[in-house]
Amino acid sequence: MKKAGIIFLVAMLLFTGTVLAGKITLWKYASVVNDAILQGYVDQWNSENENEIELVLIPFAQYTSTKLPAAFSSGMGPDMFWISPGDFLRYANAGIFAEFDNYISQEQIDDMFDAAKEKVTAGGHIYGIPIGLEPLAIFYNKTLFNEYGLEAPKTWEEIFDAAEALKTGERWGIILDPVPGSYQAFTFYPWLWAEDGKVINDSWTESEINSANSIEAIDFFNKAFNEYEVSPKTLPAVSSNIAMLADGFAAMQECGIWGVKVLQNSYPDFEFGIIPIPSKDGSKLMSVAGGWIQVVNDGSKYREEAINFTMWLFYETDFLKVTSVSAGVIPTLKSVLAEATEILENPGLAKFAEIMEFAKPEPRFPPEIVKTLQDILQAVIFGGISPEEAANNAAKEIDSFLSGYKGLH
Amino acid sequence: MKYKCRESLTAWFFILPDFVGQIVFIMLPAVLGFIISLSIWDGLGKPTFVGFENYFKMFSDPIFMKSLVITVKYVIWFVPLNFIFSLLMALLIREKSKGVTIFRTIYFAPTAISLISVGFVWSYMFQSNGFINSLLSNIGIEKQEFLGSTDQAFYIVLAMSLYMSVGYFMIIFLGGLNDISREYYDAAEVDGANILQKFWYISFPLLKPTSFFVLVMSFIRAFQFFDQIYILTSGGPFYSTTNIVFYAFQNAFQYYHFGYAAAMDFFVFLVLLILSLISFKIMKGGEIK
Repeated sequence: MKKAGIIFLVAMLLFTGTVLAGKITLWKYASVVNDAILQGYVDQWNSENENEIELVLIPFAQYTSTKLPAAFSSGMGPDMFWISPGDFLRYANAGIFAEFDNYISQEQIDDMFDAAKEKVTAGGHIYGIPIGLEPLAIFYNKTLFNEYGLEAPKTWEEIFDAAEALKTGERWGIILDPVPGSYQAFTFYPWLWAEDGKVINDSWTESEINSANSIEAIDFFNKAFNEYEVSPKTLPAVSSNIAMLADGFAAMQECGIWGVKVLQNSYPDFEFGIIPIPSKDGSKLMSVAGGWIQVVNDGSKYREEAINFTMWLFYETDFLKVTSVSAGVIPTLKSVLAEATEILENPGLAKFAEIMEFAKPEPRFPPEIVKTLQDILQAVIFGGISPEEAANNAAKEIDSFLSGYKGLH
Repeated sequence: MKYKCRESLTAWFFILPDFVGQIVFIMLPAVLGFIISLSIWDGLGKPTFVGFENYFKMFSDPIFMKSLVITVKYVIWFVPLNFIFSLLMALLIREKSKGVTIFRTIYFAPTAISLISVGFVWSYMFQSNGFINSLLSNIGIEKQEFLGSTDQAFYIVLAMSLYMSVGYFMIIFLGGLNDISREYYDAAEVDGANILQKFWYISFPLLKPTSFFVLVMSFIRAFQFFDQIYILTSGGPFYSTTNIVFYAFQNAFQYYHFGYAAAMDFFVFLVLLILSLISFKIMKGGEIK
């Protein structure tokens, strides 16, 4: 009896060992957009290759905050995974990413949009393939603008004028993000860059958030929320949700490219326009492009296969085109965009394709710096603190952090 | 084997599953949490041992100090209000008159509903174009910012916390009230005591153990508010609703300062332990003398 038990146990161990040994894991956050499409490409790879890939989908709320750190801290990280720009440097500094330098040609690198290339490059090395570009812009209610005889705004003053003219008891002028968090900081970057402001200098040695140009951008938020009072400070004002604009809660809204498909699919009769984020005097246009990156675990025993799969997925299949069209985002490769007629012939998406020409990638600042940006905006919008004071306080914190920062940038 | 020994073994056998669970899932993580609190760790690389640096850092961090003040403010408001409302409601529904079961169900219902669901409903109620603002504008009061106001958001979080808690503690008080023998009240009636006198001289003193339990549990609950803050305000606006637990969460899962967050959590644990022991000592565990 005892013997039979031991034999059974050993057999089970061998069986599970065999099953697990062949699986290469690919982790990503669960999303209704494109998960099924990705699974299709994984199945195609599995039918043609010996080592199978398993796509593991994790609820978004747990993905980067708990699951990935827990997996890597216990030495059980996935072989491949999706990472956001905000988390990129932390993982790169921990030596988790495999270099793609020997697997990707110069031609393939040059095919990436600059904003995409910058996202995956650190210390002169390429650490993954960017998945899609999601730039921000200002959406506006075209019918309403026509009704009031207003032109699409081109300067900050024109934005405030239009917002004031269109604001009523039930409708706000423009939705900017009021919720504290990294997304709020993300929506602030284009205003900052449009005014030639910076968070820190290019060599990451000193803060520049308290420069005159940067303070001007912070003051834009102050004016929108407090001086002109054209932006709502509370829910349902979530700037990432374009339904706010279509439902008449606001006349303008800062939102990402994903808003185009939502408006076209869910509000087919709603007429909207898109403008890039202008500088104060309108002489410069700006945007920030977010988007995830597929990376490979350098410590994986399937490192080679994982890199091969990633290169196959992005450069040998039409995965990038199919998913970009499906999600309504800009593909990271110029050659793919050139062939994506569904994007180029869609007026909303085509406008974003133009915006990509000058959009900058989402900065890969460590959480310490993002927190100070979040603190500035919250202090100015809600705390009654002047943009100068908030920026100076943040600059001290950033300088103190940078003095001890030794990682990549 | 002797009967006593066998009995003792059986007792250990029954305790064992829970005991192992307590060790593995509570004691061990608590000890590991304390060890992590002595380090700087971003959750990826190797932790760097820094001794008690995280604990010293807390008291020079203005946001931590602000979150400490907010935490104390939650406790000061929540504990007495929760006590008064739950006791009052228990007294009201104690009577076995017609229709009281409906009120019992209504008062207890929020406890049975998921906090997340209630949080979403409340956030919709208090948004700029929500139900409460519509109500106010109908009676000529101008729109309020509520969750977007550094002055008002705190009280909305507090109100929702009370809404979710009062029903539960009402049931606890109801249990305590039902344990009081009817004979005391009959005797008091014979002596001509009115309703207030009966409450003050009979119900209130005999509820001492229940009151003690409610106070300690309310205190612990108020110190650990999290879900309602997460759903309603994300700690904002400008940290006006951020308590220590929420700030620790932000440090761990948004800024990846796991060591610092663990230090804050250990601080909360110590404060709760010390204050619970003090209140236990003062109230002598709610003993009735």
